[in-house]
Amino acid sequence: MTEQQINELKQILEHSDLGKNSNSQELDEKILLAAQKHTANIKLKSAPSNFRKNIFTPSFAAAVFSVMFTVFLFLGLGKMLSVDHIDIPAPLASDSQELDVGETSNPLILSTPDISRPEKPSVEPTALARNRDSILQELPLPSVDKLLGDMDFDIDADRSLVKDTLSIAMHDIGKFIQVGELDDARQRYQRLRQSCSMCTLPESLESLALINNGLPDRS
Amino acid sequence: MSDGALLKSYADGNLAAFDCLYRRHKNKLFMYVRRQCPTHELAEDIAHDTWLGVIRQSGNYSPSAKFTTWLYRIAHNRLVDLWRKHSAPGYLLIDDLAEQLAAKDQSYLALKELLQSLQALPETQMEALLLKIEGFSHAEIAAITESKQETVKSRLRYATRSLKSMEVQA
Repeated sequence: MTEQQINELKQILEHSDLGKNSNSQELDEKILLAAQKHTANIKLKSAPSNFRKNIFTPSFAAAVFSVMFTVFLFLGLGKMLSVDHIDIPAPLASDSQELDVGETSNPLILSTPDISRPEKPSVEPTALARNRDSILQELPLPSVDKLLGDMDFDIDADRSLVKDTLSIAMHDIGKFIQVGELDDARQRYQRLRQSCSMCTLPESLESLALINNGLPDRS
Repeated sequence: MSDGALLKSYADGNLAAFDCLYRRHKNKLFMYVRRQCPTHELAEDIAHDTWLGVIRQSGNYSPSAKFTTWLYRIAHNRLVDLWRKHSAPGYLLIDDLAEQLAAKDQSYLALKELLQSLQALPETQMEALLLKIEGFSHAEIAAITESKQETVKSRLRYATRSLKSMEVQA
């Protein structure tokens, strides 16, 4: 299709709109109200983080420091003056449960018991990573429709919302895999899982690829 | 300020950023939707749902995609749902225009014929054509409609061919 044809069509369609080129004011108000409500929710959710920030204000930090200092002073003095009166309950232990101090030159240091741990399988991490990479590079990921087909929704609006989220995320993931940015693809997938509470998705992108291709999930 | 920066700012709680973004794109998006909906009311519903999608997913927006591509993809998904529900081809304001066109001169009759020809196109071809008219590249249309670039090119080719053949028949 040539640029000229496109421009002609564009002009014709603009003429055909006959002034009805906008939605109603009522819709504007509805959308802006929804945006406002959403912003209010964001601010509400981020309130605890503001509290965390306030902790590090100089006045708050000074107050915390002075309280801690007083407590430390009080305990220190108490210990110095009346150490005999502080009863520390001893741990209950039967005869058979004696602590094994082991053979160590310093009696204050308890030797760690010799716990024989099972050795880890001798799979090199790089080989494992290569294997995970090849899963993503070789196995196709499911389509958005297939993913949606495996999910249950109470209302249509939820399905539409999830569909948008999925289609955007799967598009991004596909692009990342295409250009070989596999870690970015994995991160994007994890972000999708966190943000989409209604999506029932496997734990990892590799699992998704394996399940989609009817293979056992050993990722 | 770029669209992406405005959306990011809104996601951080700045309502004025959304207001600016909305006013920047609302008319174009509405007309894109309106041309593919049978009535003004239905187009308003689709536009409403699309913007609600933007609001709810503002925190998930990835700057790797252009904002308009992202926005029109949300609208595209809503339109596909509509097509599935109504199982009818695209609409293009024909009902609204019919009476007004009848009273106009011959150029408007030619316009009516063109609109009818467009309406006769399969919805995927018509959508590709409308997106091209909106100024999107083949790659962007492919991203919006979740199809391959080659598919988009062939849809546009078929659409042009169909329009030309309809013109000849007329």
